[in-house]
Amino acid sequence: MAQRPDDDRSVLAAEYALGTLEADARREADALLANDADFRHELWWWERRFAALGLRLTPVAPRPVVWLGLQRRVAASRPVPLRRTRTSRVAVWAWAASAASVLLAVALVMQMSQPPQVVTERVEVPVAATSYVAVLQMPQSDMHWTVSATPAREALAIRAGGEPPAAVAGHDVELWLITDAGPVSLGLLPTSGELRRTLPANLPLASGRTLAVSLEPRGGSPTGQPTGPVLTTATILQSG
Amino acid sequence: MHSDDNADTLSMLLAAAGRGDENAFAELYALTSPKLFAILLRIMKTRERAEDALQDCYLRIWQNAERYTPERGSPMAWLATIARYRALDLLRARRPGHETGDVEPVDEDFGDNPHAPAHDQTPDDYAAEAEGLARLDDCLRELPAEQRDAVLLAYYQGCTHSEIAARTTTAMGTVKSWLRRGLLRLRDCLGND
Repeated sequence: MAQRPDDDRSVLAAEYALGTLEADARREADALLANDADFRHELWWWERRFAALGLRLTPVAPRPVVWLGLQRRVAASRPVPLRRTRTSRVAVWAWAASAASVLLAVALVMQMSQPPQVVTERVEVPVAATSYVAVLQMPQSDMHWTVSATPAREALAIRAGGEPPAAVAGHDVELWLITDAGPVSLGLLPTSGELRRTLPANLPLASGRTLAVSLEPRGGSPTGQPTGPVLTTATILQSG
Repeated sequence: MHSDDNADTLSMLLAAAGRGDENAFAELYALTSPKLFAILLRIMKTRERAEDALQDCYLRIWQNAERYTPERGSPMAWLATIARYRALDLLRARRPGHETGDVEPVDEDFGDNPHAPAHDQTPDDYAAEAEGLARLDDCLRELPAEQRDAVLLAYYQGCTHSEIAARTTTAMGTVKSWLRRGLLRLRDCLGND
């Protein structure tokens, strides 16, 4: 940062970040934030420091129902996707419609009996393909997989990140969907890069279900069921 | 580097979410919501309120994702900041007056033993946040107990001056001066980086 603000400014910024300010002090800080880049940077400095306090807390997974509610709110907040071409077309139709009504009025006055033209517009409604996503994080390691599945397109995409832990050496790791009837294999997981494959049909994929990763001999489970230890699990979220 | 990978991943997801990519947003949520939920639970106290606040703050993140810049710190720090401000707004809206009940001890373990491990903390968490958490801990430990407690009560419980005064049965002027002196010492200790 360029220059350190004086003590009063720094404390004001810190207390703004902490949230302890009374209303008038907060208004003063708001005014400074709008006009004073140094003050803004001072606030950001404090925000970063205080964020570290929050991020030291042990993470707690929220219930899947929170994501479902969030999705509804995201969908409700989304502006109606009117593409520019569509907008201009609507404008043209609106103009044409009013012009038509003028013509119609003229036609009526002239005692002509042409029926008004019915104007129709074809609106394309995109079929939303439901997708699911889950992030599987290995404990005690930065190895993780992002799994996304779109059943309508029979598409399964897996992206691996991080370094495989030593325990995985000499083995394969296999992905399972936990269904009411037990685990169903979704195939082996890559330990690096991205992999796309066909999603088996008729899987009971749903938000809130569990994916699990097991350690298996090379080539995967010989039995069709997990044979090694479960390395990690994750809850599936619906993403679209 | 784990922390860098993570920051890169989150930056990428934020950028994609800012362009309206719902899959990226879902992945961002899956990766970060447990951390934000921990912060919100602490301030909002009950699971229901924390869950409402969590939805609220991810709605904001979805609407503002393109506004993230590295100037604001790591993506995770920025998300934590959004979550905390949102929680404070909701808290203040819920209790516009004073609230003196519900007294909780300051339970952050920055006690007199400088070697005491910070509780609630795993080595992975340290590695994940390259924002000088260890240094922050050291600087907090150097503060007199009442200054440190005032800062931590404000951060973790969302207490205002008057609430800290009530909880510590101290005059408001004293609380303000604890905070001021504590924050200035923290500022000196943490330096200008």
